[in-house]
Amino acid sequence: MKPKQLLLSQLNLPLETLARLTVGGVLIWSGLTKIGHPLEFARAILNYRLFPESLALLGAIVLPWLELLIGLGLITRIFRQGASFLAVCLFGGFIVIITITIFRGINTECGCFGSLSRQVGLPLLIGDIFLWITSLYLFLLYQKKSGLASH
Amino acid sequence: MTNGSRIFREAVIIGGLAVFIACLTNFKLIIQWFQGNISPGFLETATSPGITFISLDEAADLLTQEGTCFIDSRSPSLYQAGHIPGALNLPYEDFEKIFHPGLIPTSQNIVVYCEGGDCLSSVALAQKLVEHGYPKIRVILEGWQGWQTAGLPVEVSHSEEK
Repeated sequence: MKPKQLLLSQLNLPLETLARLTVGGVLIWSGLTKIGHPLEFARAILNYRLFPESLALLGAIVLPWLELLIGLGLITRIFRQGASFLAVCLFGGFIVIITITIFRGINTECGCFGSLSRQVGLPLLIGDIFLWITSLYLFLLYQKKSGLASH
Repeated sequence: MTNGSRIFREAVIIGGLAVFIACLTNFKLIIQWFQGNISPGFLETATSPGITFISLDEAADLLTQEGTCFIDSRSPSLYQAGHIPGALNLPYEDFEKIFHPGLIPTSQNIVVYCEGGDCLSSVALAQKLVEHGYPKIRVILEGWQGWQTAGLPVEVSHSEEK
């Protein structure tokens, strides 16, 4: 391994750990706060005025478990490629929904952390963009590692 | 196995497992939904027994009917700035101070509302009224914001200092 590659790989380890724990931790916390309250979360989803009732209920039932499993996947590194890919998709989806809600001028809470939810606005959007970039970094890193391992 | 198919396989396993566990843990709720026992407000059956969630149209109809009492659960300052005509201001925070038996006849239809969007003080106040033996409680899902946006009648109160 060339010295530059060695330095980059050494830098990647703490950065990857930090990114993994950040995204995984946020997803596990977010999932756990909502798992026991599907109806309240369904109402929060309905407040975005984007989804029909059936989809809001389905989302309220499945999303918290999906967040929890993705978070666990990232932290334990089990299915890390699939988990990081799903995290990218999830935060990408949140960014689109939050942006639409801000532009439509809808005043609502995000419903993201149960009773600790924040108002939908620019700080929430920035937070989600940060988490999306971090997830993307993890996804690309695992892709690269997987590519190197197969050669 | 190519990298793409590995990502897809892992994502499907995680997604499938999430759907399976979610359905298993919420089996009763899913059955209730398919039986049509969950109202559009999602709160009526499971978390707010005794409360009916109504639309703006239903609320506007009730405004024209006798025997209906509208209750505004927002703060006095918001109430004074504008409220549904004839509504009584009963802020949720001051419920214990203001409320007494006889304030509202139990025979009346009661319609509670708060600011709208994600506010929940109307539901909390409605739950208190149910506990006090009021049988006909309704909550306007879209709240005051929805009422105003729909261009429905508005009444403004003036504070005593003015």
